[in-house]
Amino acid sequence: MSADIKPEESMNTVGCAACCGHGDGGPKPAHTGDTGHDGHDDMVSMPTAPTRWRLERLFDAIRFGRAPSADADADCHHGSGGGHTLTGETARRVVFVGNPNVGKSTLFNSLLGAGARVMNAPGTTVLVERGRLDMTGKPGIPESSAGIWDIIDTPGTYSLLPQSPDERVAAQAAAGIDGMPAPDALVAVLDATNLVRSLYFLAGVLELGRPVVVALSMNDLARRQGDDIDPQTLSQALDGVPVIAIDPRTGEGTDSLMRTVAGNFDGTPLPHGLRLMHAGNDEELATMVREGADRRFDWAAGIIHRLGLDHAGRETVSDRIDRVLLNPWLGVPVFLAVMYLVFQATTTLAGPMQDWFDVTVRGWLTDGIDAVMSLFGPGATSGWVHGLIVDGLLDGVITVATFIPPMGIMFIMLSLLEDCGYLARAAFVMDRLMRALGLDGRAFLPIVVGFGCNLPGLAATRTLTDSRQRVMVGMLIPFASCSARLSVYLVLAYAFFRSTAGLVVFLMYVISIVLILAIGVLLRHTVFRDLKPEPFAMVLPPYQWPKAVALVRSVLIRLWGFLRGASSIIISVIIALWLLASIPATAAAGGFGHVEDVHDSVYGVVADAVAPVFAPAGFGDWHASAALITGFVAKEVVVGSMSQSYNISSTGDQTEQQQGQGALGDKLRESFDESSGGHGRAAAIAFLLFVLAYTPCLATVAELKRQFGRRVAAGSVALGLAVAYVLAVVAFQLLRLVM
Amino acid sequence: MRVTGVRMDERHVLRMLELGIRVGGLVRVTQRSNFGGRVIAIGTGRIAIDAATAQSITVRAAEPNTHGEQS
Repeated sequence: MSADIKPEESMNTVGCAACCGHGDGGPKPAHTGDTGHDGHDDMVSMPTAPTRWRLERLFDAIRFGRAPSADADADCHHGSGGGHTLTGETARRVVFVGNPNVGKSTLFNSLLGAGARVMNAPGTTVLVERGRLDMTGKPGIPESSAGIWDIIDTPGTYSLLPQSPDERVAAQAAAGIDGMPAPDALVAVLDATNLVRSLYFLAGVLELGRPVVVALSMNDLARRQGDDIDPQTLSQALDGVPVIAIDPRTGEGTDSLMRTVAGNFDGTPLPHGLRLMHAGNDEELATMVREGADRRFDWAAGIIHRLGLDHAGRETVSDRIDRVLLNPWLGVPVFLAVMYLVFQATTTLAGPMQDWFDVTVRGWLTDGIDAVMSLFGPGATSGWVHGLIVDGLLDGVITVATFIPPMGIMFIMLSLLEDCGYLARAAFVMDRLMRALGLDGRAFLPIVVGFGCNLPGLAATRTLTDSRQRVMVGMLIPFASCSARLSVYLVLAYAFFRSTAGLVVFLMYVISIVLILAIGVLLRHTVFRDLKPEPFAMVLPPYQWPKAVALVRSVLIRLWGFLRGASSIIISVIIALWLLASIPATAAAGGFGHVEDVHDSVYGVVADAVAPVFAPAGFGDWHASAALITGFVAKEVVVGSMSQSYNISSTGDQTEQQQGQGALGDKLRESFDESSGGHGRAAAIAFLLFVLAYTPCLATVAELKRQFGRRVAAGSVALGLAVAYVLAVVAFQLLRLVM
Repeated sequence: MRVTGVRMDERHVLRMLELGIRVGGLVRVTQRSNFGGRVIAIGTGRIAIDAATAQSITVRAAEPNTHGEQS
């Protein structure tokens, strides 16, 4: 199928019609006649147009939650690439492609801002960002190119021959194959500091036959290295393929880039030495990429030679920094110091801010609600509506708000580490240690952060470039014993093991690490069997100063994404739990919203029903099961829930040690001794192990669902519950022989 | 140094090519790191490779008077 283009033919313009053999909306590429095929024959191996249209509509419908349009032909105006707006109008599809760490996503963020949506590519856990821009009336945009542009940011890849699911999605989106909508234009983001590799990649992209505009990034760094690449000169060397210099961090050049894309939907030249690929599916594309690799590399080397850039390079500032940061003796200690900083920032620094939301803001809002409701009469502030608003809705909102500080700090730290170029080094330094789990060195950071709070740990999984690794680390993080679980450990440890309480708490952390390793090995040999250790070879970007504007923008976009994705689940489940605790289950319990003893509510009935399940673990008691159900929402409230269920009034300023050694400790010992047949200490250990291993909190589940989808979130909850239950039962049955 | 061979399967040889490590190409080691890892320079670009990958790449000195393969 591959068309052998003669030099004079290769200069011909190829355009969107190359992907639209059945339409009449765009110009047909002149090369098609020269190669002995008509335009339609070129499409022989591709899905038939109606099939592809259906797939595109399905893709749009899934991603944007709207019904697929029935009118297929009316939309075929610009090849097969058009997405569809709410009014049925055709949208231009512009796909961003490029190597990892070239500023592609920063460019995308600066163009789309908060308008971008992160979503999984169909049928995968690969994250693709997508957003829409209305280009109507924008300066320099010709009327023929105006309207809605559908902009898609693909995962970074070194090749159109994929070696991971993420790279496969990037290749499919660029080529418009295997159900992915065909693009109207491709923006290839190239790294000016590493032009050979970038040009090799560009060669493959150009051979796809779509209109291509080159966005040249990292120009300031290249200049500092002595390579001042003039976009005009590079464009001439590429036989007229448009090249625009950009700085994604400041937004410089982006307007010019968009104007250039707008002016080139009809097609861009295919440079001499390259040949069009006509791939209809993954296999064909892979074969063509493999077969033409040497040709493309020779072409790239030729361009570099013509530009006079084929020198050996000299020692750079980055080399000198790497001499310290990647030193055989200092590399790991420096990495651990960086991890310590991130950990401290997401815990110690975030703690007071979380308290501010939890106490101060909650106080203000409660007072405000009370003031408004008192306008409706004195009884309004004691009615169930007040309870629903303050203890249900407001509690949910405050719970979401308390996660803003650790998530915001995590996003800042990630952006700093990514933008300055250290994250790629971290992957390299820790690669050997994480290899046993089939993970790369970057997996270390999310897990370490998970020990502070699982939620920012999950946020940090986005630094992993392989989606399978992201999912696997996402499933391991809930086993990292976060600081919220510590409060439960302390109270039970002091209640049951006064003199050795410290040792018990320490052992919980040791068990957490052992669990992560054991579950990691288990997952790697079962669900993630195909996650084999690959030879490590990674491009190290030059170090650079992060830019404040780009950093703030990316932090706000990520934070907004988290709030939008996680808040609905958290708030609705908290309201549901409030409802359960507000519905009286016995005649003497009181009215709706006024249940005095939680045991007399539907919540108590549920806790009673669940309790026998835990009998083999020694804590088949409703107080324990009620605390565990509350702990599903957040581990911070487990101790409070226990106090409430035992009707112990707490002053709120007691330490965990005081609570464990005081009235709550007495009650706990009493009921654990009773439910375990006199083996209270064994039951307490079993309870602690259960708390360690089961679902950390509702926010984690919401974030897992947001990032990886419903299935992974449900799988993670099921795995946590299963591991927790088996651990608790086995521990109790063994320990009761000696305790 | 000039690369004289990449002893890997076809898939990984291609990935090395895509990263700029190809037989006949010039490379130099800019940093030796922990666990035997290396940072190598290809022109102005820098690639980090682990010990096993480094061992699968054979090179010879690029200077005209120096020969002999090393890894």
